[in-house]
Amino acid sequence: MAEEKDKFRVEEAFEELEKIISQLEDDSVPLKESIQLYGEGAKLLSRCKEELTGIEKEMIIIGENLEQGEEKNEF
Amino acid sequence: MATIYTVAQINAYIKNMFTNDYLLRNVQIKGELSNVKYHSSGHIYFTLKEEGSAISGVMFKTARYEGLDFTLENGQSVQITGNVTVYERDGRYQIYAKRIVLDGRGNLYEAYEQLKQKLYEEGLFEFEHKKEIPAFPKKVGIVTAKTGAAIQDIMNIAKRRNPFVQLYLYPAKVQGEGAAATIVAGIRTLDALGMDTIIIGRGGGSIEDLWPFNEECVARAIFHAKTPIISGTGHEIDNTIADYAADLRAPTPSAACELAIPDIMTSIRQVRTYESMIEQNMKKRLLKAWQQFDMLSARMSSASPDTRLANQKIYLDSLQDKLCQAADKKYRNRSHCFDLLLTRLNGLSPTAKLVGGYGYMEREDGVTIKSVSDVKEQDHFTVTLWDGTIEGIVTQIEQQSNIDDRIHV
Repeated sequence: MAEEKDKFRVEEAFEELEKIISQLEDDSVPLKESIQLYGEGAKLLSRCKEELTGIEKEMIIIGENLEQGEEKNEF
Repeated sequence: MATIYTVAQINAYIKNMFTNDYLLRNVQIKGELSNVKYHSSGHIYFTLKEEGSAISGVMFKTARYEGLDFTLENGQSVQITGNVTVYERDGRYQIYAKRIVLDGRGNLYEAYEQLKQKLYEEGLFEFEHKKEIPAFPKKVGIVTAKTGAAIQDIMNIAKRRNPFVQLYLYPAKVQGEGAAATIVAGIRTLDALGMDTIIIGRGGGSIEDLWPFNEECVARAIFHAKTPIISGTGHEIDNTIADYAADLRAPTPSAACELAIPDIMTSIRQVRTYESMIEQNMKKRLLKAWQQFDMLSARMSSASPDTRLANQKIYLDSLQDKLCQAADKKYRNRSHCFDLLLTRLNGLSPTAKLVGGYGYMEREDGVTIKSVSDVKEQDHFTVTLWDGTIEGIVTQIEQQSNIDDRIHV
């Protein structure tokens, strides 16, 4: 699981999403197949969101650490 | 018959003799200065003498930069290096000085040059042996005199630049007898203590003052130390041997300190700059990722089967409507036809014909009377009108002969 998590790249997911959406936008793809694509897409989107939110949280934590570090070093 | 020469020819001949003489081309003479004259052209004229003998001399302006580090005065005992040649205009020979040193120092210079050459050949000064000076030292060792300007300057500068750097002073004797040994001890002691950087040096002085820094044992101690060493000997023209052996040389002890200890405010500013750069960059990237995410989300939802499904439902509804309409239209068409047919049918109905005052007659046995020949007198018959029937009896029959087929019902 940790390995899988490490492998996840937002950029790659975005590329994959582009492909899926293009297929979804193509009306020649049967509706029945499109619902499967949509499911995959939705999963990817929520994974991206999770990832971005996670990075955002990490940024905040790092920012806080930086500020605290500065206070400690103040003289 | 002897050849008669001109004065110039003789002088040229003599000058040639001087020039070709190996010794006179590069000679060292010692003596006492007199008649020293600094000419406005920059050249210096003088006489070098000893008891009962003198030679005139000149030092050209161009030679002064390299060969003279003090002011010539009458009465000084000096050693002059140069060449002796003839000044043809006056028919005098004189020494052209390349270097003038105060007597007693001459040996030092020679020793200095010899040692420098020897250590250079040994590879002690090779660049590949130079150790890198740590960019952010925590402990800096100093080998210099306990009192004096050098240590004061170093302490002030270190405090100003970075008060967190710990300074370790090994008080050494920096001039005179036994000085070199204490400098060597200082280098070894601080090296063993584990400094990040070691500064060795002293304030400016004469070559004699700086001499400990020109001694071989000091150069070797520097070379063998594991700690990077910065040498800062404030001096006159040449570098000391210690400068050559050190990993980094500075013109003064203060400069050595500046090279050893980075200014903490500069570092802090640098760190802050990097910090905000990183933050800005990261924020920008994150924002971009979010924008991309939003865009993809929007496209995804508009391309969602749900939307397609909704569209298809709408289409289905419209199909249904069309179907109804088509059915309705067809129904109404049929209905119209039906009405028409009904009307037509009505038109064909016998009873409809009765309305206009017509009726039809039947015999008692129910047979429709179509002709006068169908009945005889006294037969009973029934006349049916649109609103009822009339009973009657045939009283008279009269047949018409010119009857036409057209009125036949």
